[in-house]
Amino acid sequence: MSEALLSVRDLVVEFDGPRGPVRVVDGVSFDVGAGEVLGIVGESGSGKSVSLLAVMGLLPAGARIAGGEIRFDGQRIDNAPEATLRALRGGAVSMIFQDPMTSLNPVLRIGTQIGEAIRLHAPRTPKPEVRERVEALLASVGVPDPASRARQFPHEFSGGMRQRAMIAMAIANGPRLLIADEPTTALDVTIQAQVMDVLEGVCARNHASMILVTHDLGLVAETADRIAVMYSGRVAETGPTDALFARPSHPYTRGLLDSLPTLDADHDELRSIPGQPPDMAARPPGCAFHPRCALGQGRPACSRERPDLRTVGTGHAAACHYAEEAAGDAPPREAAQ
Amino acid sequence: MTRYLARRLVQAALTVFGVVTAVFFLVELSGDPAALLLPTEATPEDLARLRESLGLDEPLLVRYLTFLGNAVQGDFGDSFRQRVPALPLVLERLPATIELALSAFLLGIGMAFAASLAVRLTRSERLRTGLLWVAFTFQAIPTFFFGLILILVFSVWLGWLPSLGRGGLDHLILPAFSLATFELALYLRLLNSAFLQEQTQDYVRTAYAKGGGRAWVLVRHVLPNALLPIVTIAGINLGVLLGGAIVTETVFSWPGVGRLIVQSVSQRDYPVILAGVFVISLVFVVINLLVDLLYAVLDPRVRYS
Repeated sequence: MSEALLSVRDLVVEFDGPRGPVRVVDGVSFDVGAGEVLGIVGESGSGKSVSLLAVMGLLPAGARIAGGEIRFDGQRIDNAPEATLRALRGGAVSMIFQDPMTSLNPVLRIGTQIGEAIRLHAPRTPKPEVRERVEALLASVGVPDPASRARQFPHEFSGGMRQRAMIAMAIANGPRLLIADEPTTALDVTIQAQVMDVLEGVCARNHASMILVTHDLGLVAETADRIAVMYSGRVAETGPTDALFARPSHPYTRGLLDSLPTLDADHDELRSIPGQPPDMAARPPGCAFHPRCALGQGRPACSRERPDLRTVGTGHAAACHYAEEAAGDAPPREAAQ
Repeated sequence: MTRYLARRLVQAALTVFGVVTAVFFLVELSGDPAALLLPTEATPEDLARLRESLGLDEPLLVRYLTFLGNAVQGDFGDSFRQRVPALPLVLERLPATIELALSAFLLGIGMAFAASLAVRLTRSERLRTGLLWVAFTFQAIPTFFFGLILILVFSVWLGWLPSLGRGGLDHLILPAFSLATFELALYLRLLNSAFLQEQTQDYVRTAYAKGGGRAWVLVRHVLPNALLPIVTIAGINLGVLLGGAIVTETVFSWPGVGRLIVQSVSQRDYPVILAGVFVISLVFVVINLLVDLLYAVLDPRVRYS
C-alpha cells in the first residue's frame, strides 16, 4: 500500500530493564490509508499503546525505537528532528488518551488548554479568534453552552465531557490522522457510545484517518475498517474487519472472539483464554502464544519457529504456522454483533 | 468565603492569644527580673521597692489579667530596662527583620527555581547531583559558622563588605546570602521532587502531544502544578524567617526583632519579650492565612466554604 497515510514497518521498541533492554514492540508493521479507521486490539502490555507513542515520538524516558521505520505521508518520522515532530504533533497527527481525568491539566481552564493547541501551531492567531474557534470546537464535539464551559476547569467537567474536550483539543488543527488510545475505557458504558459517535463524526467531517486502540473487540467491530490484533509485542493477525470476524486465522484472535458474550446463546460461564500473557523480558521461544494455544499443543514448529505474518485472504494475514487450520475450525460469526 | 475568612480570623486570634499566654507563664519561670536590674550590693528593701514599682509584687494571676487587659489595648507595658513602651520598641525593629527575611527568602527561592529549571531543561544528571551536593553542604553547615566564614572572607580578608549592622545594600548582602543558602537547599530539594513527580503525569504527555516544546511544557504546564506543594512550605518558612532569624541577626549584629528578643530574654525584660512574641505570632498567622488564600488562587480545585 504505497499511498498509505501512515506506514509502520518492522517497528522495534526497547525499554531499559534491570537485565538489559526489553523488546516491548518486536517487529510490528501496519498501514493506515487515508480516511481509514484501523482498530488495534490486544491485552494490556501487548505493546499497542507503546507502538503509537513511538509514532507520536512520545515514548517515555528509558524507551527508544530500536529498529524499523515509520512514515507519515511518505516522510520518515521515526528519526525526524524534534522540530519536525513538534509541528506534526497536534497538527497533522493528534492523539487522544485513555484517561480524561488525568490527561487534562488540573490548574488550567478547558478553553485555555484547547486554545493552546491552536496557538502552538499558529502563534499569531489573535486572542478573540482563538476564543471563537475554541467555542466552535467545543460545540462541534457536543459540549453544551461552550462559551461558559470553556472558562471552567477540568474538575468541573464529567468524564464524558472531559473526553469531548480532549477530542476538541485533538481536532483543533484539522488533523489527518487521529490516534485514539483506549478513548472510552475509563468511561461509563452509556457515555462510551456517545464519545465513539463524536469520534466517528469528527473523523468523517475532517476526512481524517483514525487508529483506534482498544481491548474491546465489540468497539472496533462497529467502527474499524481493518483490525490488527497484537500479542506480546507483535501483530498476530491483521485483516479487514469483516474477514477477521468471519474467518479468524490466529488461535489468539479466535480466543478473543470466543470470549465475547453473545446475546443469542446461553452462557453459564464466559469462555476465556487460559494462562497469562508472557513476560516481555522472557518470551517463550517460537510463537509467543504457544503455551496458551489449544491448536499448537505439542507441535514442534510452534515452540521452535517464530511464525511471520502469512497471507490467508485478501488483505488478511495471520502469524500462525497453522493459520488455515485455525480458520477452518472457526464457526462462522457475524462481524458486528 | 466570608464565613471561611471569619472562622480563620477567629482561629488566628486564638492562636496568638495561646502563644502569648504560654510565653507569659514560661518567662515567669526564668527568675526574678528585679535581681538582674539592681547591682549585687542592693538591699532586700531596694529589691522590694523595685518589684513594687514594676508591679511584680502582685499575685501571678492578677498580673496576668492586668497584662491581658492592657494588651488588648495595645499596651504591653514599659521595658524594664529602657523605661519606654515595649510594643513600639519591637515595632521599630520590624522593618529590619522584614528586609532581611524577604531578601533571603526571595534570593533562596529564586536560586532554587533557576537551578531546578536548569536541571529539568538540560536533563543533566550531573548538574542535578552537583547542585544537590552543594545544597546539602550548605544545609549541613551551621548558620553561625557559615556566617562567620562569610565575614572572615568578605569583610576581613577581602574587605569588600561590612561585617555588621544595618545600612545600605552592602550591609544586607552577607546576612541575606547566609540565610538564603539554607533556604536554597530546602527549596531545591522540594522543587526537584515536585518536578520529577509532575513530569510523569498524564497531562504532561497531553501537552507534548499538542506540539509543545520542552521548555514550554515545563513552564506552562509542569511549573504551576509543581508550585502547589511548595507554597505551603514556603509560607511556613517565610513565617519562621519573619519571626527573626535569631542566629543570623546575632552573628551580623542585625537590629531585628529576633536579636531584640534574645537580648530581652537574657535581661528578663518581660514586657519586651511578650510584645515581641505577640508581633511574631501575629505575623506568622497572617502569613499562614495569606498562603491558604493564595493556594485557592493557584489550585482551582480548592474552594473554601
